[in-house]
Amino acid sequence: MNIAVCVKQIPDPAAPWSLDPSTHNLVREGKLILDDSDAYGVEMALQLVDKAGAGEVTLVSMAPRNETSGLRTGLAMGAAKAILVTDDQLAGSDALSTAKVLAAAIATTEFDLVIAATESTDGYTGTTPVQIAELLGLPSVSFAKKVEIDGSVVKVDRQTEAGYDEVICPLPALVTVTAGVVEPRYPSFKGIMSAKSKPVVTLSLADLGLVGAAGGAVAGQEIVSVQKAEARQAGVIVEDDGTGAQQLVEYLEQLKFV
Amino acid sequence: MSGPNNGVMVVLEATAGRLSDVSLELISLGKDVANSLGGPLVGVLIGASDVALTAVGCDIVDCYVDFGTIGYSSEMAVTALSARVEAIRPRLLLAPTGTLGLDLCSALSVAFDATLASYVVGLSVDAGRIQATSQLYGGKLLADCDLGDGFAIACVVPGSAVALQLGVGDVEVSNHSLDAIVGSLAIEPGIRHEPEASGVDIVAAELLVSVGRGIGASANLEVVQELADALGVPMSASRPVIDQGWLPKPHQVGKSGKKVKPKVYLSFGISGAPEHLEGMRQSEVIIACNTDPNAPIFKVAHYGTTLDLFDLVPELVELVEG
Repeated sequence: MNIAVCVKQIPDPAAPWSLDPSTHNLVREGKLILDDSDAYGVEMALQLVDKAGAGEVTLVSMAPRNETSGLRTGLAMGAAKAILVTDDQLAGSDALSTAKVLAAAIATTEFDLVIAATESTDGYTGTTPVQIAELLGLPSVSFAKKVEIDGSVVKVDRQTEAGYDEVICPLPALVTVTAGVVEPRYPSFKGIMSAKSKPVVTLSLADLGLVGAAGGAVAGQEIVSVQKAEARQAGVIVEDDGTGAQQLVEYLEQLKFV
Repeated sequence: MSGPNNGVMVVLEATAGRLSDVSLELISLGKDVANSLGGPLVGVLIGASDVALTAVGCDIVDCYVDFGTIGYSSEMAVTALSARVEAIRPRLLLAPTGTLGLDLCSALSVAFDATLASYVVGLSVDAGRIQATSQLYGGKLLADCDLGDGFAIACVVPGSAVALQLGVGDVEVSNHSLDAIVGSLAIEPGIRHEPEASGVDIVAAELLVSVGRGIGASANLEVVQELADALGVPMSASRPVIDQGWLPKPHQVGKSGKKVKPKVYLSFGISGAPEHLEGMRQSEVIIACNTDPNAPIFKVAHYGTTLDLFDLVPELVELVEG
């Protein structure tokens, strides 16, 4: 069982960020980290490979400036190797461009299953994983909250708005996992040390044969303007003198909810 | 394959004999765009058999009525919708941001090489060009995008438009069968489990009592449920509560759940991650209870308290019932 896991390396969500006013692209400076949402996919893949008794987990990522710090986290968790696509021409890529790049990178490795998070924490569109599946001609199952391999199929409980679907899908396939599908492990000290020497293959757009086919220059939509969403003024925090509950109920009474 | 015409296609979902709220919102958005472009509004209903379609505001509705009974296969939905896109060649396709809509939009954008706008909260047409306003970075930013000249797809955030009020009007309804598709699928339709048929509609509620991770354990939900019951309103929750399986998915507020704008949003133990704020920041009044004075929810709350919810809620129940 070989599994490719798409991971995104993102600016620390807690750190300040900015937008380039001329290109409307996110300015990503400083160290990137492994997107929290992706830790679930990595963990799921490690558990499935463990259960199968053979095979390995390969991380696949696209990031600027040869960024590998987030990948090292995934390698420290237990992934065997990583493929990183990095190319200046990828700046400003839209979701479909990103999907083309990741699909081509995944195709360079052997896999029975591709796992991705349902969506990334930053700048998400939620569409890249299923686009990758379409490009690779793979069947896909999104929003998995439970994943099991059974011979040549993957059995998935798929979260829906109202409940869940039981889906059985032939391998190879792509599955997107929700947060909470499994509890991601913390990398052990040994894992962190061994991650430093695990292979990270770096590919450019030319290596993937995608020059002129992916990247900012071929984005289908043009961002005309970006503005900050209206920020709401912070409210007043009232020191509670023991009548907080009473005040709240009186307020709800005024609004005729009580 | 000819280029797109000026039509707008909307993906409709229905449960319990009526179109979902977001479907009516999509019709409302789609109608404006179709009128501006001078093309028809075509609905494609995926998944119900017994919906009255005589006055849904569309010119044409194509129904795949057996979808709901067959079970879910993204491949089946994509194949069915692709056939309609192929036949109608709309300029714009609208689908809701949700577990069905994301599957459809992602797959069709590749199949038709369409421009795809995600997390769309608004649409406009100027001189025949379509512009979409999308949320970025957890709703902190809004981006206006020109969707280009060809076929475009917009995945629309529920709650972004006022639902169309159903009136009277003629609509050309045609039924399509999935039989021909079902035989050739790689992913066979799976069994649907929809235990939550309670009709809870957190989007329609004027007052919501919402819980987050601070509730600590499933058993503690009872405390807040009592308050919701006393007030006669539904309970909603942030994602951690849903992910833990403590409340079913229809109760989720936030980016991957529902977008709500009640008159009052009463939150207990919700810290206010950007994904959650995105789903409730348009509430008229936000009241937050969280023991962490630095919780981001206080940045959007109109009233806040750092009282322990386990002290505050029982007192509220007593006062409300009293």
